[in-house]
Amino acid sequence: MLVKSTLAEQRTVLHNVSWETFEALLRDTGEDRGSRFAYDCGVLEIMTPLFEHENPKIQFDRFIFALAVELKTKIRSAGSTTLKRKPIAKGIEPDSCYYIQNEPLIRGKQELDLTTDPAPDLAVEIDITSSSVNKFNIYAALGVGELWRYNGDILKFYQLVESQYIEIKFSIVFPLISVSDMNRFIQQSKTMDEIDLVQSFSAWVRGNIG
Amino acid sequence: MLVKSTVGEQRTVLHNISWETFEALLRDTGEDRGSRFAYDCGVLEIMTPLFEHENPKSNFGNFIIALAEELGIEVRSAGSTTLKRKISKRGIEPDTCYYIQNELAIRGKETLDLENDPPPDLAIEIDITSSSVNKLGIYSALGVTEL
Repeated sequence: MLVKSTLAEQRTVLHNVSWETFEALLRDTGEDRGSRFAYDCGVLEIMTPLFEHENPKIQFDRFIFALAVELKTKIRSAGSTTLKRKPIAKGIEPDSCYYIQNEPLIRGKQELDLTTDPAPDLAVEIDITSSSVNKFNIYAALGVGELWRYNGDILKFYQLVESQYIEIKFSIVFPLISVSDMNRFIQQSKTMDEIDLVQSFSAWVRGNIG
Repeated sequence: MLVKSTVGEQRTVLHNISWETFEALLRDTGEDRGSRFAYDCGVLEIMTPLFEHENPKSNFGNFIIALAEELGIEVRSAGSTTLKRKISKRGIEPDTCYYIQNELAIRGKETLDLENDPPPDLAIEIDITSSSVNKLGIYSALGVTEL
């Protein structure tokens, strides 16, 4: 039988992994790992991103950076840093994450410790295939204020309100930016050259928002 | 474009994993794991078998049991038991493995310790897609005589 085969992420799940073993894995594998971990109370998901996943991730990062440049917002990119807190037995590595409102609090820091530092203000998650862990629960428990979630077709914005995420139409970290605007641009990334795209995006921000 | 899509195994590889972390993972995940580990000097491969992989595995198992019965040979099946030796920094979980010549040496044993016990006499490996670790190297270091 011929089947259309696209796989944006490869996911491997292990159960009953202790926090100590999770941390040992993080320590051993270090920074240069191709795959990303998400951990929730014993369940460890190891996700290897493939092309269909990686390209939107890069586009979103460019858009966010362009927004910060045009709007003259302070920003600190934390990439796919492991966000973890032992007391809640949860950890995750976003596609990318950013300090915006809280940028002054972590300025100059070389390491993040979420027991004393604030969580990033914005995280971007691309999940084209379903994850095996509940990422909303993990981000909520870690206190990430805003989430942009893209499933390959549709982007949605979420705001953390009293430990739950609610869908929002306009970004909180970048006020005046609507989810439909960002959807339009991420769809264009499927057919437009990347340089043209980011220039068109920056021009749009300058013309409409800045 | 329509492409024929069959993948026998899904493989995830992690590098620089210490022996202690490998053993911690084995302890934590226990017996009822869907996926299988292969470890070679810091490289850990986690393999999740899919249908195309599992079906031949079960057929081989049946053939071997039938052979043993017809030939009147004592066989102890060790399944996908983790075969590991810390000094070689290698470990693997075969599709199935058997004690045949050495069946007597491990008869009645509930746990295997390859520091003291002989390795299985026969292991079966099904690799429809290429493995990321050198399995022949691992089995050789563990002393499994037939593959």
